[in-house]
Amino acid sequence: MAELLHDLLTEAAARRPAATAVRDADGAWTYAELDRAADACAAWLADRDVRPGDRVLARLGNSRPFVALLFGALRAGAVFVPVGTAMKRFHLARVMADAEPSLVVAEGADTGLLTELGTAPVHDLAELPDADAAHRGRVPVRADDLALLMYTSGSTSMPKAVMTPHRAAVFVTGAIAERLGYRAQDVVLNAIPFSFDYGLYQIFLTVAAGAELVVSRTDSHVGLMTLLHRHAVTVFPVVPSLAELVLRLAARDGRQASTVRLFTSTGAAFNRPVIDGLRAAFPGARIAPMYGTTECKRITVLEPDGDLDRPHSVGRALTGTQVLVLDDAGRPLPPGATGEIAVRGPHVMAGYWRAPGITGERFRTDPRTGTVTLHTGDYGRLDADGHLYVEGRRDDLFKRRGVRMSALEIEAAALDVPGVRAAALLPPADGADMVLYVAAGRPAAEVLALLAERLEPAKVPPVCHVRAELPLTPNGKTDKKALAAEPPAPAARSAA
Amino acid sequence: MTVPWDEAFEKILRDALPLLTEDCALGSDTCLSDHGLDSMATIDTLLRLEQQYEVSFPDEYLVSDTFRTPGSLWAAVAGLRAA
Repeated sequence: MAELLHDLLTEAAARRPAATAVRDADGAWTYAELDRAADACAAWLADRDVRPGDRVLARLGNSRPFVALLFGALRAGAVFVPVGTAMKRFHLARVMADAEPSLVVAEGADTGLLTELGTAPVHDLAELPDADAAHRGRVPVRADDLALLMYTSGSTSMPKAVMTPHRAAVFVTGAIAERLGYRAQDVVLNAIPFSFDYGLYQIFLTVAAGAELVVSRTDSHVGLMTLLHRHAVTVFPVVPSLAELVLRLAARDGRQASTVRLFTSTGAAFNRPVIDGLRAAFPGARIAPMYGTTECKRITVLEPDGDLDRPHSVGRALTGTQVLVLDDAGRPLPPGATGEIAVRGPHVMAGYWRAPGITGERFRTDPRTGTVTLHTGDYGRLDADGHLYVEGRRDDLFKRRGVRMSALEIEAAALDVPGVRAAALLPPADGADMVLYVAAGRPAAEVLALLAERLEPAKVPPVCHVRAELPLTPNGKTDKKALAAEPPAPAARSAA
Repeated sequence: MTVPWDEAFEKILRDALPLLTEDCALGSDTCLSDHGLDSMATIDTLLRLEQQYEVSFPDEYLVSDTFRTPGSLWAAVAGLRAA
């Protein structure tokens, strides 16, 4: 039984050495080849003075070498830090200072930017070794050692990292696998960035099953139907925005993509037309809505096609874990009552990296029992059978295009734009997209263009209104209710 | 500046590029993703081009390189129309 994340690869390589493990646009590796490539990376990292506990930061698109580097870093005892290629300098500078990596791997011109932002040596992806039979890079690792730092946006203005120990990651991989049933014969198509836990765990889930992972870069979505057909994909993890895109591609495609047996979805509510569209376009596929948060990876999984009986449910807690709905005093509420969603179990991560204050707020330890309860900040209710229904949040955190973000974070980036004196973001509501209001001495289109230099595309508001001043409440805060009540006015748009 | 493409192509591309201001010219080498061509806009553009020019992009054209610049995209369209 695997205790460490890289045991998953070691076991798969022993069990199915000749089976295809991972494939990208440039080719494929068997499990034996991936195993050797990972060892080569571990030795390569050790040769560059990466020691157990050191952070290895990878800012890479989805590719085969990423998978080898991930397992190589873990075998070397390092903490792997995947960072999204869409992240802009504004946040990246903070992440580099916070993670303090000993070594960074990036691609092309990006290596220059990362060199500028830190003191760690930055290597190009092309420098990674191909294969090495020696195991000399492997070091002893304990299950409680950190495996990953997963940077996430949220209630703070800058990204913060969730500390993932091996034990929690291996546990949650097994618990998800139990619910979804990835099989050795499966071909899993991953188009979700590996910098998101949803994308990254496709590696662990696929390897745990000894299945094949087809990796697609996030700038290559236009080719997804080609990959589905060419590789006879059976499992396709999506977020709702990706599903919408796949539906448009499927509609023009005309070919039957009947090999897909399972879609999983997370990141936002799956609306009815998208679910119905997937069922119509992929008649052989079942659909498994899920719900989670990086702080414990996955919270619930609905059994495939469970939405037919329980529309809008995100499913039951993973086996061996608990989902609670709490009142404002932290007491559990009965089924049917709405309260804050909280989580207990071996999948609850070890808190936020170098942030004890916010860790204490979210990961609350019972002083008597020592049990940690993760407070998600999401609100919802359970039914009598333990199926969860998520209703939303009461703070300003929200998800857009599957990406978690907060008004605070977007306002902080807007205030970094020269000439912006005040910023207020109205989150998406009632089917309308988010809207930015700024007090600024420059046109809205310029504000949006400069904001796009600071935030990844999903976080750039589609609409910006410029005002001389923003309205204030009596106690001096921006009056968002007054802004929300304003009649629509001409505005600069950043997205079609 | 003369460009090889027609007005319809120019309009379809501009509609997909929210970060390209009206006074900014679209050149053969303009990086489309830098000007806001995200994955959804890429697919919208694909569908509009296929309808406008009555062509069908084959699998080997459905790669990010095709959608990198107006020049690369127009070359694909022109090649399919000639075929």
